[in-house]
Amino acid sequence: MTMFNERDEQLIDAYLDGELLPEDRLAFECRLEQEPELSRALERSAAVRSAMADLRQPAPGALVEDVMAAVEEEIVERAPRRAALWSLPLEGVAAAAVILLALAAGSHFYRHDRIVPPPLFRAEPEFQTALAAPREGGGDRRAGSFTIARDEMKSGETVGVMDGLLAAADESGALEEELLIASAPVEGGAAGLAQAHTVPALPAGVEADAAPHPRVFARTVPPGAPPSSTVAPAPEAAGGTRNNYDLRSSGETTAQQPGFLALTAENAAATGDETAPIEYTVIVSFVLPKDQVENLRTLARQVGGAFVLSEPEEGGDSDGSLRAGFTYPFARQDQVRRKLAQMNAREIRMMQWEIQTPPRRIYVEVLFE
Amino acid sequence: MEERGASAGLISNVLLETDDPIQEALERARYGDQEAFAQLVRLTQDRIYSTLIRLVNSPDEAEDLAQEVYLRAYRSLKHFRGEARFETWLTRIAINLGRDALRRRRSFFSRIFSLDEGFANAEDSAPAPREVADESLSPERDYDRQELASAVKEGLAALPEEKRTLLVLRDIEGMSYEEIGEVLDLPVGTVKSRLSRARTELRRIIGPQVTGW
Repeated sequence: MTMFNERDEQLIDAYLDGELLPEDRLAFECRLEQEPELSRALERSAAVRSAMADLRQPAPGALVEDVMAAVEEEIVERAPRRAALWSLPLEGVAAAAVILLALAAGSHFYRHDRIVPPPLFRAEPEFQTALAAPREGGGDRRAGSFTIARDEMKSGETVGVMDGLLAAADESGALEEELLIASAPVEGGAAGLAQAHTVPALPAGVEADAAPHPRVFARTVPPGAPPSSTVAPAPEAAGGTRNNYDLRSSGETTAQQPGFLALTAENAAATGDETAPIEYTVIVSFVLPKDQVENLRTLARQVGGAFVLSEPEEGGDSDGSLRAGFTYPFARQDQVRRKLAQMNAREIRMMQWEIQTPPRRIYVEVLFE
Repeated sequence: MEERGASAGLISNVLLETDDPIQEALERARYGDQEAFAQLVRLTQDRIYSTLIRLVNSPDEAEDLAQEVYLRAYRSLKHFRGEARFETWLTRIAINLGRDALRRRRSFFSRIFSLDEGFANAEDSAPAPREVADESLSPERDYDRQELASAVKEGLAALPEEKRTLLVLRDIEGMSYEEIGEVLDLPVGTVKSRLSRARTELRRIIGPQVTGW
């Protein structure tokens, strides 16, 4: 590629923008006839402009509906609070209960995307108790619904959005399945991982950048290290190393991806055993009141995770809350969940990137309102 | 108009002496007409979504942000004084939200990723250059359209946010220099000079990616 000076590049842009004065335009067109390289540069710029214009993308069809649903919700929220349930006459409560039950039943049939799934955390009484505890300013943490929001990225991914912690996985139990898969080290090292989590080719019509971007946060486990189901030492403390392997799905199989190859080499080098287990780590991020930050830091330390706090000037939200988070081994998820339930987090995002067939990423977002 | 309520009819008679569908819907929406607000969303959503998706490079996040843009607009509708065009105002909200999201993402994830060495966040890194083809072998060869489109998309994502925003607004959304100046609160001359630098940088990024460039 021939490099032009800045002035020539500006001239080309101005010419394509129709910004040149008539005499300058004429002079530029004369140069084009005499300077093939300039002409070629103009073609290139025009081609880039054309390719840029093609990047315009229409909004998803459901956006209007989603926006209006959110507007409706906001209108309802801003409406004057109704009388507390306990202040209503008993027959009124009974009638309301009947109506609510009818509505709930109806919604099951009319809104196929809103379901009432089996609670994910029901088996954990401590967690449930924490959730059921009264909150400052009232409100019930358990209230809410579960939505299978959409088939994200048209590639088989499902995004679940929860606004109540007791509402949980989708009907297929995929969330639980995902947690189960990820909660134990994958045996057989990198080879086991490749076998367990092969990423198939993208479906036709799915653009590469619209594909899921799974990342596996893996650490290599040295020979003789205690099983993580009983002890979860910080990887460095256990003599292992932790690395982030970018296992983006771009059509090729897992074993062909550069990140996977790096993981394979790293695992073998660190352990001397190509079949050493590979352990996943989950990332959790929060938006939470500042006074909860220390609690989160402590929790991260307790579970052998790594704490991360966005700097206020960079990540502080307008309401004075902060975004913070940490990574933790899946093996400690029960402990983490119990502790999280005791925090007054406004929002919890659990993000995990997982390679599996079909490609699927579960993104859990919890709002305490 | 007949099917609307009496008050909406009055508004339409008194205030809606305009051929601009956005302005018409805006006036009605300001009086609480929700269908008019939905119409505003329909009329402007492509620009807002398209801007956001190129800014944050994530369909999912762009959709969430677009929803937030309209919610904020809805809340502030009564205070919108019409000093800028409605679409310009919306675009400014979208750019601000998109920048906030990028800042949060960059800050948060860079800290997580920096826990380990050797990880390059795609948001901050240019795509790896391909082998440069020998131009002399095919000097007249047209660029492969798909290849160029892919290189442009990747190159755009690799640009710093400020330059990406300018290119998105001008070369994808086709906004005028003046409107971009309003959205970004910059003088028109500054918009032009920065845009020129952004285009130059984009061409330099994508050059090695395209066969026969």
